Amino acid sequence: MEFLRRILFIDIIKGLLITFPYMFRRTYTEQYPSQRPQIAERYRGAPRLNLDPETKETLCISCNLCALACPEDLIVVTSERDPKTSRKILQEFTFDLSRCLFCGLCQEACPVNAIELTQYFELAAYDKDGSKWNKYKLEHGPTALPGLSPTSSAK
Amino acid sequence: MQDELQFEAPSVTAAVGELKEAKPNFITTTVEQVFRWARKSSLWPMTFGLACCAIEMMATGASRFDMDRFGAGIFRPSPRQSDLIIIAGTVTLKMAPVVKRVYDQMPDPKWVISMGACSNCGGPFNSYSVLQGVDKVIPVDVYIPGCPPRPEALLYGVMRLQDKIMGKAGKVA
Repeated sequence: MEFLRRILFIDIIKGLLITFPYMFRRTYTEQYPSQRPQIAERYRGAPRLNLDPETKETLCISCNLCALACPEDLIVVTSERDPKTSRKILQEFTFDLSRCLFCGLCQEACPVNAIELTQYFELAAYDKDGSKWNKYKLEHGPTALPGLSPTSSAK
Repeated sequence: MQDELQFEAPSVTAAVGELKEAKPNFITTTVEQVFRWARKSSLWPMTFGLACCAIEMMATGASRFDMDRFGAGIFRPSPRQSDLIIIAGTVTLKMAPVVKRVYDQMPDPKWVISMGACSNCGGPFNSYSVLQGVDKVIPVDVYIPGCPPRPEALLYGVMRLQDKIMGKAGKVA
């Protein structure tokens, strides 16, 4: 009996009977570069400094609460005080992504919803400095600067 | 004797490094492009996971994200057979010499992807026992931020590395 089992490949056929139906099922693989993945709304990816939709000025009031909330101390907010209105004016906002945990504490700490973590996840850089985002990059998105445009393989 | 030495074939890494400065030569550049294409289309990563990022790396190799679509799905069990090492996770000071040794055992040309905050610069572990960035022991080609990065983010990093191999890497991103 055992001999016949081996000659007739009974065990292999049993296995293939499970394997073959998968050929006719829906393809499970995500075709990532050609097809955008479904990112959950609550996913926390690249940070963004929001601008006022009307005046195009930054919403940030330089209160430094995000920098204090950050467990990694990777946010540096530089501001100057306007002598006339005695309000703080944001000069530079540095966000070191390479150390970021994307915990979202900065977003929660922000009183004016200026900093927000978006669903953008394509953050790879050739250099550590490429992960240090300045105010311009945070406001206009990572593709705004030259050298960061999506290349042929990403399309 | 001196002349013979001068005509020795340069090593592969040296050749890759010189490519940018190389004079436009039809035959050699075309062959080099074919070499580059072959290298980028069969990036074999080392089976090497250090921490939680390795779970995402495994997910990237599995059926949903399928790194095989980029020719990079065969995780080799030996550094001698691999082109790429994905440093996925916290590099402790105890592990750092091993990482360095595994990297040294890989044949040229070889590439390194630093995946996640820990291997980029230590991540949350700013402590006595953790190496603050794997680039302190081995040269890194692509840094992927995230804690851990999505599998798609790792695929994006692999695509950036392929661009770098093809010599299409723009200025530092």
